Amino acid sequence: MQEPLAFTVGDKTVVPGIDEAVRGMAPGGIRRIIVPEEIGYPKDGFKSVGPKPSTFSGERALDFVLASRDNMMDKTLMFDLKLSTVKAR
Amino acid sequence: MRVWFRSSSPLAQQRASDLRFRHLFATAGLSSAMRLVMISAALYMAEGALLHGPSPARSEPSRQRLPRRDACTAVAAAAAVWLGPAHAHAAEQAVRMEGLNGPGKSKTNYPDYEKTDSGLQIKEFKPGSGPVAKAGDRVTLEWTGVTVGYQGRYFEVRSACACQRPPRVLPARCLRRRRFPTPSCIPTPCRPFPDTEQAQGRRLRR
Repeated sequence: MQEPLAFTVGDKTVVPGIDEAVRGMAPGGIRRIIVPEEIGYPKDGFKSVGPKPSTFSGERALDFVLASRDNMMDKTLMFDLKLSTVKAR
Repeated sequence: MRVWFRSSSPLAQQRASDLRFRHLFATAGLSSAMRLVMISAALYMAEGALLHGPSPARSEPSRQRLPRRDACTAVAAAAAVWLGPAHAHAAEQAVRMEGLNGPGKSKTNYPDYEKTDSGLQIKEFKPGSGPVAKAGDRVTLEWTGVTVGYQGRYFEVRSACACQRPPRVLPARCLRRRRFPTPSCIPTPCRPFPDTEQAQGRRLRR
């Protein structure tokens, strides 16, 4: 069972693409986003910045693309996001 | 033209379904000489496939077939290079990738997505309701991730438990082996995002 991805908007704990896409979403809303490499995971992959895949095979599938040396692969990622809750600070 | 291509041979069909080829044939300004070249290339390939057939010998390197295929590929590549830049897809933009000794892959701009200044492309499937998330808010999300640029692998999926309709517990008689399971023994499928507008439409039609 997947644990929901929880973060504070703008705190740089998730990929910049997701952070940007979440702004303007309302609870229950669904968005599909295409995240290019520049606003995707940093060089160390999902170690410092989320979201991290919940399964080992998911980690392998993502790392396979992100860790490719010399930019051999297109690192564009697609995310489907469903906003569950919003808590104003 | 496309109908003719479709009815010729499996190999030619495969070629026709190739995006660039489809694009070439959709182009109105294709010269008749070029068409002739393409047709002859397709015929050549079709003939090769028919002659050799799906025999075990196909997998072995054949001296007869390889030069012919090379020639066809060269003709097709030349046509693509010649016609490519003039009729290139407007939504695509070539990106240099250092690891590949060539132009690399192209970055796709999907026409039904909204593109922001940072290069992010967003498509809204369902607007949602309530307070809108803004900077400083604490949010929780369910998410799915796909390596869409390479092999399209899902590295994270929303769990099967996330469907609105929980999987039905099958009765004990369903555990017996049957050649044809009765409809009541077929588990209900779980669709991702069951609350999208499309899924709602499907539910209403039922």
